[in-house]
Amino acid sequence: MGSLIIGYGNELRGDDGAGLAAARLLAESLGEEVEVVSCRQLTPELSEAASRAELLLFLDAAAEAPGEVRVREIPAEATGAAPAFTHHLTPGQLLHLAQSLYGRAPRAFLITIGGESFDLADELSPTAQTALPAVIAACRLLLSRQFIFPTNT
Amino acid sequence: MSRQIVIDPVTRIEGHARITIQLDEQGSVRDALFHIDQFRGFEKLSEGRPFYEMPSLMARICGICPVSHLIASSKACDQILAVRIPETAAKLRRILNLAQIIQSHALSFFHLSAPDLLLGMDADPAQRNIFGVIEKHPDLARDGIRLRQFGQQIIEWLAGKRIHPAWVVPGGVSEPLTAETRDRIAAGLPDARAMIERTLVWFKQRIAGFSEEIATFANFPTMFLGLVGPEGELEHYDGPMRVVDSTGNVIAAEIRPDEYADHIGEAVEGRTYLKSPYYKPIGYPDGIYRVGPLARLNLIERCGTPRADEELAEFRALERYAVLSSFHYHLARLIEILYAIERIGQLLDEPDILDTRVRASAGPNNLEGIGVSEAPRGTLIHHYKVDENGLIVWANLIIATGHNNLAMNRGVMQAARHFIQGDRIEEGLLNRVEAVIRAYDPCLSCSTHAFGQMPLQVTLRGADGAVLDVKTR
Repeated sequence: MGSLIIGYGNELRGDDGAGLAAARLLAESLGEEVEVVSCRQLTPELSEAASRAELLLFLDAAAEAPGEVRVREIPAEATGAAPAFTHHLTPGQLLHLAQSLYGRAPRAFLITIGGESFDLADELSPTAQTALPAVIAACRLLLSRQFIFPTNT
Repeated sequence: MSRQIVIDPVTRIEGHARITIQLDEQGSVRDALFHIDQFRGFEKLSEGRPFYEMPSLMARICGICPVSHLIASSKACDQILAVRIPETAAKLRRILNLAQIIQSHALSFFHLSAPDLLLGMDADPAQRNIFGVIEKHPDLARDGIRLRQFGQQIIEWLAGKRIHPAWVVPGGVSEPLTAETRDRIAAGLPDARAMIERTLVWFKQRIAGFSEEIATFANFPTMFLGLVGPEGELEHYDGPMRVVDSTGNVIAAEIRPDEYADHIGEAVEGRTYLKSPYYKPIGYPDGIYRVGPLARLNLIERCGTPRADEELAEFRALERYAVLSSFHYHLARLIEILYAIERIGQLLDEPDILDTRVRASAGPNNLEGIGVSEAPRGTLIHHYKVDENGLIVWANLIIATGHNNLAMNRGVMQAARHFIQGDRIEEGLLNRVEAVIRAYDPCLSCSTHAFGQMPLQVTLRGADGAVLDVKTR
């Protein structure tokens, strides 16, 4: 089982595209052993790919702490409000779907990039742009499994 | 004292809308209205753009059905070029459109409406969602997710990406189909077919349990409008429009795309940003008609694929003449998924499907172009005028959901009058009023980015405007 990276957001809303930008950089620099998916929203269709991964990294923008990169583990259980409106999910809900429908959910982390501006724009603010190397470094560290799967190293 | 109930926003639809229910002094429903509060303005902002940019620009109207806009827009641009696109390109566009119908119908049925259909209209709203479906019927949920995934996968394989692909262009498509992609799509068809067959069996067994909803969910006579094939078969890409009445009689057999304005008028109402198209020869508002899966199955003579034709025969037996209840949009959607899977298989078997000549080239030769196709939700019309340099000077779009506006409003009224009496404003009853709208699967703004939370709030107001009660979920 390999690793899966899902970068998501809206690249036409300024820093909301930070997760997509980071995913693009990782896709260019990582080998084929890591699958990188870019999308606007987390949708149920991603649950099958999630269930096949050993490690899943979600990359998303956050509307707080501009420029800060934060990493937190996401439990494999349903969290947050029910998807009453359309079909998009939170990371926790996606993991819950993977577990419920396909019998397993990977260990997963959410890496957020604090955005500064979410206005209409097709480029990142300098603040979000500057944070991207830290996102890449965090992802590489997690992908090395050095800390999260100590028995494997 | 008269009172007003506001359902704001309507949940599990694509976009943002609200429903207002006005009660009279006796607590009976006096009026019920469906409002679209968002404004887009795509027709105006496209003015001044080169016509060849239009398919990509118009695809941004929607994140759920960008393919529909790509196709209708490209067809309008084909007319501006004054070209007949290569046959293979037309077939590839058809496959893309059918893949779009599979994924969009699967989203509507399994993700948005299955919670009502499986768990019941009165189920706890906290459970009435995709997770509730998974808990009760994981096999159905898995089939729904995989069917939608299959439709999206075909779009991605053909057009490069799932959302806002740029593969459909004025004059045809930008790249031919490869043997590898053809085989990948074909390999997925048997599984997809098995999934929709299972779902049809399951849903048809449950329909009888919804007799009250069938009787009251926009169940009234209207006309039906949609594209039709040359031999009266189901058609989603090309051909003339047909209009039938509520008894199935053909009122207008062949409306060419360039004749649409003679037959379709667009009324503007102050309470909503969604226009209300109507059948012009009858006038507004009596010229009410419906489009989409229910309409398409009501106006054709046959689907044109073996299993879908069998299902069509059963569908037609639901009522003596045309099937009038909008509840049956759900079943019509499933039959169209089955048809799409069968039809894609037929198209992939065409001997010229791998032909590499897939695009005709020309400059602007006409100053006007009209493209009509069937989106998942109904007939989609793009009409452009350009100047001699090919710059857009005027655009008119009639979006599928708009055609159904009059019928959605009348349907909300019918359901509200049946289910809401006096102080009975239980959540399950309000959900039925919403479910009428959901049956049409309206697509109001899925490409706009909603930032933050949009809780469902029902406010009960007295005649003096004072809030009497608030329910939030």
